Amino acid sequence: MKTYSFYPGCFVEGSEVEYAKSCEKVFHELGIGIKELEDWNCCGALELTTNKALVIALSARNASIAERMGYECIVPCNICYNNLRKAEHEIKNKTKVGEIAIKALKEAGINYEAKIPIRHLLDVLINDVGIEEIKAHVKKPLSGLKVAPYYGCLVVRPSKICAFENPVNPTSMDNILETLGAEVINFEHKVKCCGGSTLMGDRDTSFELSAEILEEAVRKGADCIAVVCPMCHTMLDGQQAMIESQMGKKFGIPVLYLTQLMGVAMGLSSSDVALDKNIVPAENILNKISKEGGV
Amino acid sequence: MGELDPGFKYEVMREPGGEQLKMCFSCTGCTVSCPVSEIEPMYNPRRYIHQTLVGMRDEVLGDEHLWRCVQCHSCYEYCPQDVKVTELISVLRSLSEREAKKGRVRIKNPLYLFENAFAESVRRHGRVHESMVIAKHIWKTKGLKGLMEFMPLGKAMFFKGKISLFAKSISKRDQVQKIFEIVREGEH
Ligand code: SF4
Ligand code: SF4
Repeated sequence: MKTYSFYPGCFVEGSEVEYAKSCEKVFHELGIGIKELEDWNCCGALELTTNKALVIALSARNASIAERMGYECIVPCNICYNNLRKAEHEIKNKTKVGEIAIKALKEAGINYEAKIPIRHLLDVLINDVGIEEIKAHVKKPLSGLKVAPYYGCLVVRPSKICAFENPVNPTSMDNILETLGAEVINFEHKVKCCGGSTLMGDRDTSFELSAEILEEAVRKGADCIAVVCPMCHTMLDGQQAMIESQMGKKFGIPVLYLTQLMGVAMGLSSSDVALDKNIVPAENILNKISKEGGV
Repeated sequence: MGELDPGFKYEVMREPGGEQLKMCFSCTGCTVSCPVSEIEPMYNPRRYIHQTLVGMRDEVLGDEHLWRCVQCHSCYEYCPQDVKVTELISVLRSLSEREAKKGRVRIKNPLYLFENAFAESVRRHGRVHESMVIAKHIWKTKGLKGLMEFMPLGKAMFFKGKISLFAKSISKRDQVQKIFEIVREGEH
């Protein structure tokens, strides 16, 4: 059994409980060991980027914990992932900002050599676990369920830093969903931004960007949207009703974490993957899965 | 129009994230790929870069649309010159904020206030106490009406156990505080 360290980040730990729980259960099913980073801190998210050195140093502190624990680090949030990868990149390449961060870490008594790989959850699922292994765990295929795969921005861009996927047309989530037996929609907005980072400043822009994504999914007849980031999820699921009332439109489309859908296909119960925690009711997707497909 | 400041580009290039400014050859790739420019033509990353190179310091740092960038990194991805446009916009925001603190610029978009509160929560606890920072921000910027608007979602989240009332602090807060202190020494 391979073991990884796990950096949940403030968002997943604080409010996106369905992601945390479904990750834990799915990894357990797949025989993967997970150890939460000890005493991790906020990576700085997109809120502290007006001070790049600060984000790099805060993120590097987390990476240094993974390094000390000696396990590759799984990150389930696009934003945290991007920040930790940038930190690794800047410090490894000894850039000016990397040197500022290293100095700050030293003064805080932290040693970091940028040696431990930082991996997005999706990267580990597709490249370490692999399609064959996922297939072997499918007990209740998601037959008949139409899913729109939404990747978001920071898991694929900048591709020089988040190097595991194609930045224009990523396919890892498509492939996993197909393996689960779902019908995957050709989703043009798969890497277009949900606008989450300006929600607290310029809500209209955020809503307009998220609405484009919801609209395409509904127009193409998706039963749900699959995501791998708590920010995307908060925008598309949590804010969906507010977007509807502001824009005078109705979407009513459930937004599930990929790990929730994996859990369902692996035969876990809906409470195991916390389907009751989604804001747009998610349980009714279970009715859309055709029974004939079951094993 | 304000006076041109030939030193502005160097000021930007000294900041972490601004180093690549001079590489821009004005191809417009960033603006074409920008989802915000698509819905708000007044937001134009290529124009900010050009204005910065020319030295239009007052215009750039006083531009309220600067705060509309959603940090999606499309421009960063598609720039053939590796200008790292997303980070450059953050540098411009940071300089604009410093001008605002000196009273020379007035920023209408409340995002920077949220970011300051967020930073303070991280500095104090090591993590962000999100629900509290968000609630306070809505109260400050939109008052009771804003909070009422947020109530249905807030209530649903609360009953689903998605809102924590207490801040979780890490044990080595001193390390995080040291990081803040050292990194901020470099800011003027
Ligand atoms: S990062 Fe900002 S400037 Fe660049 S494409 Fe996205 S919204 Fe536009
Ligand atoms: S894409 Fe790059 S080179 Fe082209 S205008 Fe934008 S910053 Fe300049």
